Amino acid sequence: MIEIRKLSFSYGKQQVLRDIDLRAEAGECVAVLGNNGAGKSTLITCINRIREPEAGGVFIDGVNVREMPRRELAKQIGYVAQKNEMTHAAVIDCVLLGRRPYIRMSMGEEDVALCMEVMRRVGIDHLRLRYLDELSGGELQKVMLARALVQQPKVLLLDEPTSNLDPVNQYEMMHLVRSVAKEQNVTVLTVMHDLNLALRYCDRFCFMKNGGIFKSGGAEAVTEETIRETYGMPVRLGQSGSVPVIIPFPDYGNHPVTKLERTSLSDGMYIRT
Amino acid sequence: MGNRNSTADLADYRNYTGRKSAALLLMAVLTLFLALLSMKAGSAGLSVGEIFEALAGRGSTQAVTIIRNIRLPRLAAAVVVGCALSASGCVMQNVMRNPLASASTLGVSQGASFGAALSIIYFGAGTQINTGSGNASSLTITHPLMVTVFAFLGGMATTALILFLSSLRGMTHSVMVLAGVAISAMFTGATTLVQYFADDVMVATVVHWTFGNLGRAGWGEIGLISLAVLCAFLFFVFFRWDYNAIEAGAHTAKSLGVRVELLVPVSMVFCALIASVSVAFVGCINFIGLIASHIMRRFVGNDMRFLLPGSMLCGASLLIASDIACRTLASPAVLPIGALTSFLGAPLFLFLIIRRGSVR
Repeated sequence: MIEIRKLSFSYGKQQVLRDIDLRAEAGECVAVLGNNGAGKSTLITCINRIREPEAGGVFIDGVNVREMPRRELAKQIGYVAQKNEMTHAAVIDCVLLGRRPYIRMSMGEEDVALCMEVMRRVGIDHLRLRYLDELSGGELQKVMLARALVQQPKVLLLDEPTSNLDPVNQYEMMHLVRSVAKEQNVTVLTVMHDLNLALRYCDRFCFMKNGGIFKSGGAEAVTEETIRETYGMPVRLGQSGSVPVIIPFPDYGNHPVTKLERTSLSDGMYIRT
Repeated sequence: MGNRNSTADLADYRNYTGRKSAALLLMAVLTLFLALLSMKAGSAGLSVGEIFEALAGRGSTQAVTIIRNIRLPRLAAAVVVGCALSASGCVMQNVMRNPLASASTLGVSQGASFGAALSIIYFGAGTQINTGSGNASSLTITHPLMVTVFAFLGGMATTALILFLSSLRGMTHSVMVLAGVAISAMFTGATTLVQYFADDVMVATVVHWTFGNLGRAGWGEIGLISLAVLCAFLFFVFFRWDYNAIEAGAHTAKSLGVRVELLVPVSMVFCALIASVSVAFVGCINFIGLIASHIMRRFVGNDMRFLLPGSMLCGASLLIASDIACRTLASPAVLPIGALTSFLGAPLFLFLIIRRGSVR
């Protein structure tokens, strides 16, 4: 279980996160949603201390992450970055990196065995000797997920895990994330832009706006009004089988685009008028 | 089934690492072969048997003198300096996340060269010795430690500047290399100014010194470089997994528990140390640090467990081969090794820039 209490962060004088409160249980998949610049990625990187929050705290099973040594923290939290380096390193070596928090001098046979097991689970064992710079975007994302899972974390932080993936790979990736979360009782916090994908695979939804959490909750929190307030975009909420789906207005996007000048901290936030 | 899978997996992994170890072994054999060739190359026409006899202290006095007093120290200098420059380049490329980083492209060698020239000309760290043939004189370093300290300070000043520049936003790989060109020009200018106020003979000897000469380093200097390389190598090896993590990006490395903010500057200090000490005793030898790791990446990938020792062996081989070429191409004249490595290294550097896709 992870709990974020009154977390705040600033880039210089610009406050990016303010008083964030969030709680997620083991095995739960939480989607962090919002416009570009709303503070989603910053929130993710403050949780595992890639960035040091200026106030508030993050607690894993009641223990403040600030009190954990870096190595211990890396055993608790796995992280997949938004952009991954396509270096000339073999897949197996990249996945083995996930064991770094557990080793002192060198990798043991049990580390290698665990990596192979995770790669099989993620479906990339056939790629193990390929180089990262030879992989497709979808394969690379799966390798990064495998590396994070090899850390055997209690919490998995994913920063836009489906960006740059084709629809098939997007669904495969999210299906995998959800399955792993449920099987291994891992809490997943994932930044997402695709609302329909989030609705299909996540248990709870956390809408961010102007550095704060605007609204959060289960599927009932995802309403036409919440989405319009969060993104400044009118939508209709429909149903596909048992899953709710978001449908933008058909004529949306045909209007000129002007910069949104009110309320937002974000430079990249636009609204159609 | 699980056990069979696990056993097969381990065998598979051992094969994979075994292939990389074999590449290192081949590189080591090549280095030994070139070392033997280096001992053999020259006008004395010694056979392999005579070389081994001379190494053991037997054989003719002339052969023992040539091998033990001239060729062996020269070979040892090529090996340790090659290792130093290539290890420095390999780690710099990793921590700066810049495939074009090396002591010579970022200006560290030039900074060290300036420091060494300053100590020799103005602080009496070197003495001119009349060689007896006309007005010719050669430079002997009388205070190796002082030259080392000055060269290290020069190299460190550059390193601090590079770290500062790389921390600025918008500093791309290409811009950093251009910054390196500017820093190099600045220190080359400063070295020229230092020389301007020195007497003619001292200027001539220091200019000759900056060409790079493996024959200049005695056993004391070689010992000092070896000690610095050994310390740096142990540090680099200890943090090899952390370097691999940095290869995956700074954020990913931090999420794996690597203290990137500490490891990067400390690594750069070690890189500057070994590059500076090498420059202090054998002069500027460019491009070895840049090329060696790029050659080895093609065989062992970016995994620092194999790339670091591989690059060091490759750097040593390249420098031994360059030295053989310097001694034999225009025999009996000995070409300056710094000029030869630049002459051969620059086209490769251009090739890397033009084919950025091949730079990983």
